[in-house]
Amino acid sequence: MKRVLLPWRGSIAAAWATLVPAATVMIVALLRGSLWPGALAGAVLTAATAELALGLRGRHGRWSAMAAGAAAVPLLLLALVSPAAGVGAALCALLLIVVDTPRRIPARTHL
Amino acid sequence: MATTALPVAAPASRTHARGQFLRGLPWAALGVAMAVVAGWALWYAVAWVSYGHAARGGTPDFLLDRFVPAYDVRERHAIVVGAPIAAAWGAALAVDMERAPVVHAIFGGRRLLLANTDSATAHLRLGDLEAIGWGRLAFVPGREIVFGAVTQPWKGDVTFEPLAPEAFAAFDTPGYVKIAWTIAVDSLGPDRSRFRTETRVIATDAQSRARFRRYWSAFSPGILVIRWQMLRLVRADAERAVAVGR
Repeated sequence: MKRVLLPWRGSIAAAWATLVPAATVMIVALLRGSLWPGALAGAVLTAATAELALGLRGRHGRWSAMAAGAAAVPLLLLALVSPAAGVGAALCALLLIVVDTPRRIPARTHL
Repeated sequence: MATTALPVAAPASRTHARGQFLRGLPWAALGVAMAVVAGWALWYAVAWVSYGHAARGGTPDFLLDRFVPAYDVRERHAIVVGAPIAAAWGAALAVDMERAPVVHAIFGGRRLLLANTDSATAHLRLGDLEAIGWGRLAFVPGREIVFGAVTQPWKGDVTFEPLAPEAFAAFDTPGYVKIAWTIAVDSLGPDRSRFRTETRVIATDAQSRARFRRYWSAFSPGILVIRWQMLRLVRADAERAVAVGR
């Protein structure tokens, strides 16, 4: 039986709720010199933002495109700090996005 | 016999998708810009709240403890280098941080934002910092240097004033922050070492603390990127020196 592995999968509200905590954890980790914990938080942030982009596609295509662009920003910051951390976070985010769950966010008609 | 006209074939879906993608690019760029602004604002808030609550654990640095035992800001960074300690030390003293394009851009942006016309700091090496006012507080040959200065970094044309080691810890003239930072190498074996750097900052009075808090909150993203770039440059230079020498 397929399980929902990630709390924000299948819910735009949960994706929104993930953004600020994940970003805060990433910033705190980088301020304290903890690169890989920061990269992991950055991967979660990117995945949650990408989920927003997927959920907003269709009627809210512009917002979807904006979210897709925003999803790249944590990876860009991590790549500036360390290319290895940026690549690692990108791969981790990709894994989080494509991991199999039954509740992929369908294209919504409202935000 | 009546015939039914066949419907015209729909435009190729690939062309439609490409058109959608191109139309979405400006919005994606707007999303990047908004995320950068929002991210910087969140960073400012987090740095502001955490100011003065620096983590106090980790590997102690007894040299720095002599000069800045209490601090508002503490940064520590380290990187493992695939080279002997001597090569890492040599690379650390000779590294030109502005060789990295992103560091060059950050320094240039700072000069622009704070209207700093002084280019004397451009392309300085860590071993030349005394030329711009950093004082050498402690030195362990081949292992560690502690630099220190009093300064007002919130000003555009920032200047660094060295102090004698015995006067550094006691300096309390209002209006300044004291900054002490170390570059050090530790041996991890015959062919491996660790390059580390730690920076501590303490303000001399409440007004300076408030000013530096604003400065640190705003500029710490760039400062941290510079630190990490420095680590990578030192590692690359040390490992290249070893490879060339073989």
